Amino acid sequence: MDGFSEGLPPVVFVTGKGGVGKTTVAEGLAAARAVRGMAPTLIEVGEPGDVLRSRPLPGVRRELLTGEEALAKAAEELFGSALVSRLVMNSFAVRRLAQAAAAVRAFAVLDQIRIRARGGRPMIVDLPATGHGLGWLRAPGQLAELAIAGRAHEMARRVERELLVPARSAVVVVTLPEPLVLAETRELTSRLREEAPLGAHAVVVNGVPRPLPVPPGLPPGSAIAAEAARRRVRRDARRQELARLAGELPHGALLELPRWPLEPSPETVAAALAGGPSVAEAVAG
Amino acid sequence: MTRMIVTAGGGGVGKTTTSAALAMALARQGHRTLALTVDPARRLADALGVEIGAGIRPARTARGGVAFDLAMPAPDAALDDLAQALFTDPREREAFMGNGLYATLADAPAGMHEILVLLGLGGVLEEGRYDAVVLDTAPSRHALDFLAFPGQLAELLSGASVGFFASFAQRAGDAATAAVERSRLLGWGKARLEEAILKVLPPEFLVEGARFFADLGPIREPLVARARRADALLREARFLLVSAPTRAARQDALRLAEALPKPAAGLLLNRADDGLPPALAAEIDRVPQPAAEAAALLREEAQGRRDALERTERALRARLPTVPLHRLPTQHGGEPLAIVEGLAPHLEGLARTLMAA
Repeated sequence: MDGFSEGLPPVVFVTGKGGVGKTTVAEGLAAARAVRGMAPTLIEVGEPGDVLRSRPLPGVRRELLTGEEALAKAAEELFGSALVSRLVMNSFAVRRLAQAAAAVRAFAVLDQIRIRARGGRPMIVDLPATGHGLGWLRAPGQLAELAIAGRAHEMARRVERELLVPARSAVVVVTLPEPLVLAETRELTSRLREEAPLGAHAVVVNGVPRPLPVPPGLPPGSAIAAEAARRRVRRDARRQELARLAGELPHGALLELPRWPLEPSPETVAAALAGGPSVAEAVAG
Repeated sequence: MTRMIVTAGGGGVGKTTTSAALAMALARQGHRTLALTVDPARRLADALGVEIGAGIRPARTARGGVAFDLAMPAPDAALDDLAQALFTDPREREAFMGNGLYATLADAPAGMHEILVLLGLGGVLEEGRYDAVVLDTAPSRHALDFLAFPGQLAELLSGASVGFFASFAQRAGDAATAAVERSRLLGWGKARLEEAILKVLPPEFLVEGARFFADLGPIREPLVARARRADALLREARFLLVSAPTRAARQDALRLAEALPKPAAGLLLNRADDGLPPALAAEIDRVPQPAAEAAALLREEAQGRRDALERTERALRARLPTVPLHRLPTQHGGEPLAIVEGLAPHLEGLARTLMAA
């Protein structure tokens, strides 16, 4: 399983609910690429006024992309001139509409990523927690269908063609080792496969508790023995859910990251992503 | 007047559970309380005996007696519900809901869901059925963007933008003759603005967009009225930040604190301890010989959680020195209803402060 990150296409979208450790995994993937001398860019998608949430990493360029900026750039290309674009985008009606439509902003951000990724430049994209990435990946297609022709339609299709294809980009879903959260993740991967241009390439289960080594012979009623048993029960429930999830990922990988007592460095995460056995194997064996 | 309490925090901090516990504490003090969850949690809904998308239901509590109401509107049904509530003429409603733009909006982009939920509940809020409404926002750093939405929406729907789109609609005529419209629209597109838009978007799209606004006509006034009421309630709201001892949760809370229109009324820190159940804590201190290795591992985990807690508290205190901090202990056992019941007593003091003038 060495080199999980080596099998990835240039652009990697990292998605998952809030609080699952999306940024930690994105940092780990960026660090893994930096170690191989790929000089990756770690892109965080946010809003004006946000600060970067990832930590500085040697050999990694970090960038915050905001919907507002991306929208202004997309409009400039769309209308062919900065002046006309400002005229249209600053008109009360259009501006309000564009602000309200999250899909429009998602599309504009993806278009900026497409531009930055030209020539196969390696990129890790930390997607926002809302919408679970599904809305993001569907945005260009939705827009192309809404604007059935014209320049906007062509721009939307170009993002699909040049960015959202398996040779150019992949989706890594980060999740937690709770059976219910894993069930939600399975729902997401199945919807990605059916509704989005890209299915999930890999699922990373973050924060897996370490098993407790408990020798036989502890007194009955031992809290430690009870805790060890609880972790075993939860591991078994998790394994069942993971086996189902593996069925949703015919070509993808399932990886586990341990629950570290202290926040791991990006290098630690990178090493765990590269060297850890895949859960698919663990489930099978 | 209904007291609106808005809780905000990043993902995974226990915000929905904490909001439900606060609603329980408020109800126990005799306040008629509604907990409104924008990001539905299926497990909590099950535990409290409500169904996602089924409107307002009384929450089940283990102790019985004083209860609170709970609503977890389904994100993909919020716009449908609103259209159902506002359109009296079924034909007008169908025309509106049949529009292609409607389908895109109904996907409830981030931030829209909150406001749709608020607008949808406008009627309930107006009746004065509740003393307190706890609004649990989406788990995002931008969860508070919606605060500006009711005002913006009222402006969008009552202002000049509607005139702009409506004039498009008027001239566009029937969509069935879109091919004819194309030439007509282009012929009429004298203004530079219209010309520029038509260059990049097909006229069919504009016809649809314009018609969408035209179809809004019958419900525009009640919609604007609801938006203004929601706006008024939000202006008087109290805000609570919810966090947990992780870097991401801390960053989210601090980002949200900046976005608040006024200082937070409280900062709730979940899992504010070493996370060890008492029995386990006692046993690892005795270190029974056969389990020394396991005990060491458990101690290491507990120390890690203590360190993370200390770091989080220090960072939050430094940046938000005047916001009262409430530490909430880890709830062991894992059953959602038990967790809500366990947290509620810790929130009674806060509940009293929130309801005081």
